[in-house]
Amino acid sequence: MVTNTEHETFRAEVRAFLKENLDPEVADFVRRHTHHPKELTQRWQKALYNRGWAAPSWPKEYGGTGWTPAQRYIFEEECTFACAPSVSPFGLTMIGPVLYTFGSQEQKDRYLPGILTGEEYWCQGYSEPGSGSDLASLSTRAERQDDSYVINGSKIWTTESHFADLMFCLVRTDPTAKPQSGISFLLIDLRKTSGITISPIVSIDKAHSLNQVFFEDVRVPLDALLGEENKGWDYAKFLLGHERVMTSGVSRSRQKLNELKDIAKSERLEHSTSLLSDPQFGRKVADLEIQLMALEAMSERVLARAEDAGRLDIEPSILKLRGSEIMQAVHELSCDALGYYALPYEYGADRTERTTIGPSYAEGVVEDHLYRRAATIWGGSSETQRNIISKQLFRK
Amino acid sequence: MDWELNEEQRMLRSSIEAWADNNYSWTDWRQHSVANETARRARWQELASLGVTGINIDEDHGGLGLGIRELQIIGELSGSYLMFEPFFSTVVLGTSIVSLASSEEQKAAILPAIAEGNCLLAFAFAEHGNRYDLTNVATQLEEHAGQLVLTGKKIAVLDGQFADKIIVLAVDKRQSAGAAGGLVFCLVNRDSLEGRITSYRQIDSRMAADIDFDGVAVADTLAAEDASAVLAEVEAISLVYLAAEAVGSMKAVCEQTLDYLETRQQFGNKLSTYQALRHRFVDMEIEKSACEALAIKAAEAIKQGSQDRFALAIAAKATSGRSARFVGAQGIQLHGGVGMTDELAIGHHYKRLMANEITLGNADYQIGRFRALSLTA
Repeated sequence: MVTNTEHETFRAEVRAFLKENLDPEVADFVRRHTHHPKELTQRWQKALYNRGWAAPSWPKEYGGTGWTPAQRYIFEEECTFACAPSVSPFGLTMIGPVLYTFGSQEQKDRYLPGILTGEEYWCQGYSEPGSGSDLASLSTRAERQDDSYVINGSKIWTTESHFADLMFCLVRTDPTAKPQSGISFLLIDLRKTSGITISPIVSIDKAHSLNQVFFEDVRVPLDALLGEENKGWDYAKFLLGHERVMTSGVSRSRQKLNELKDIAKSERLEHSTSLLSDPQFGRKVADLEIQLMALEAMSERVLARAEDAGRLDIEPSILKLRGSEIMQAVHELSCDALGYYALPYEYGADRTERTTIGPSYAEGVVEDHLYRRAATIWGGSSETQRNIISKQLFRK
Repeated sequence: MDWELNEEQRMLRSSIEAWADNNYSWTDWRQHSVANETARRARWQELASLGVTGINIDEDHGGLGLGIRELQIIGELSGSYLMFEPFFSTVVLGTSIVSLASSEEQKAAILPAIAEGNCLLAFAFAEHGNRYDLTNVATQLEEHAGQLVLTGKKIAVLDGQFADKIIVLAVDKRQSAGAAGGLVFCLVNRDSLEGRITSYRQIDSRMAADIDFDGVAVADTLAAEDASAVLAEVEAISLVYLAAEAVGSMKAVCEQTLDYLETRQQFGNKLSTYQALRHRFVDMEIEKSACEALAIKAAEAIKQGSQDRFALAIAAKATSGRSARFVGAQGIQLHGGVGMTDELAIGHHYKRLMANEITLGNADYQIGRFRALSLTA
């Protein structure tokens, strides 16, 4: 970690903000829960907005902070270590950059403020039952009819669409063209549009955050189109490249590793020594720590490169791939640390209330672990990432 | 040694499999996961009539007098079908302990009822602060004014809330035990545990309980002079049973994953045509095979009473833990998004394999024990 006086001053500033604005109860909730209520996320976004820190990675002209990569890194690190709520990624790191890069002035004026304040909550309509890794094969159809697009089809794995306000959606507008050349980007207001059915999908952690969304003759106005018709895949690629720089998850893994150490300090062997002092377990922790250091070094380097060169080839994929594997390893070892207390898993019927059995530090550990089995699947599976990297490395 | 099942064993397997096919469709599984005591007891009665509940009870006490390999047959099917039946708690742990540690009187009082499907047992051994070490228990048995009383708390008692009797592993602190103070198996009746059982659902949807035994009256202690020796034998049997259960689950995972890979298409091709995925699946099959072979070998060593039975049992459990992590995880990974749903069985297999690995100590723990054994050899 590069540190100098300027950085330390900035770090102190971030800590002061967190101390003043992050309620300890909220931090505790975040630490123990994988899925957060909409209001919690929105309230935090508002607090950031009020400070002028709503969008650290955006250009200043659109509400960004103008921070250096180091400052952005420090900010993310401090927020993660303090267990601040994670910001909703769909608006800030996904559709936001696409909007200010490719959207009309009208769309920027209409949508960017709501993303910054957090008052409008977004979700992502990408994957379909038949189109996962092969996203370009998507078939949700949008046909021009008079002054509307009429949408028919289905999206799946749409996180939080059951309480989102808006969806950015990839649709097929030209079924005759090559798949990548017949896709458009639509912005849909879920609150005002009829014909949309959102069906909950319960995940392996027994929670409800995922959904399947059905479109039946759904009409949206033509100005729902972002950019040019049939250029949606280009915008999606831009978004994916942008998204991946953010997703090494190094701060989060480090925070979870620290929580793991706390668990291991409290857990006992033979009713006496702590698990952390057990050489065998201690080595595993140290090993993960070293892997995390390498990931951190790569992340810092990529962040610096992104500022200078602008264009990144395999680095985002490497970070996503490695980051997700390390994250899973940290979660797995955290469950290991709990011993038999990794087993209790009570969920109330409404799936939001839980009973904690055993020590309080066990709460949320297994839920996080189970949910993050998806880390190597979402955002482009590990297999897809290796293909992307391969294509760049192998020349023939 | 016999690697394949003999005719009787094949028949046993078929009859339990047929029962499972009739009672454990995926829809059935969902219903069973909402622990309905009446339905559960009814299913257990059916299994009693198939001879399963008394499979390892000697014929004198109403059982079939069969052994470890037959227990593995049950375990494997239990894993494949993700069964909730208390095979492990009653048949493996309970019956084994009672058979090896009891007087004739005690056996006559308990074993026939188990064989008839009328008695469920649970074994309370784990404690918070003791991780996986079976022998180093803090729970104590004392005698106060002629009453046998326990002090201590046990955790993760599988099927604890359903048990008619609970066998509690404790350190014998009675005057009569003297300075030796070894381990003792204590029998506690269900009705002594009013308000002391905190039962909960596990990740694999089975029920377990934390039980507070402070001040609880013990109905009887099992007669065995050397409870530690019995415990070692029971542990070996249990490890080898759990390894078989893991194999069963891994078989189901491989079957379901193969089916998915051969059905699902992306980029215009079946997933099974992609070399990276083919190789991954092959690795899953290899892990499963390694685990299965060692589990069978360990069972044989137990059956023969050979000296290396403890080392083999530990190795089998270590292998099943490690294999299960890989196979379970890849089962989800190769299913992609649908692998993350509650709807499909694949995620439930992952969770059952997790629970299976933790029970009696995960792979890391077993490897440590194996090393310790090697050092003393």
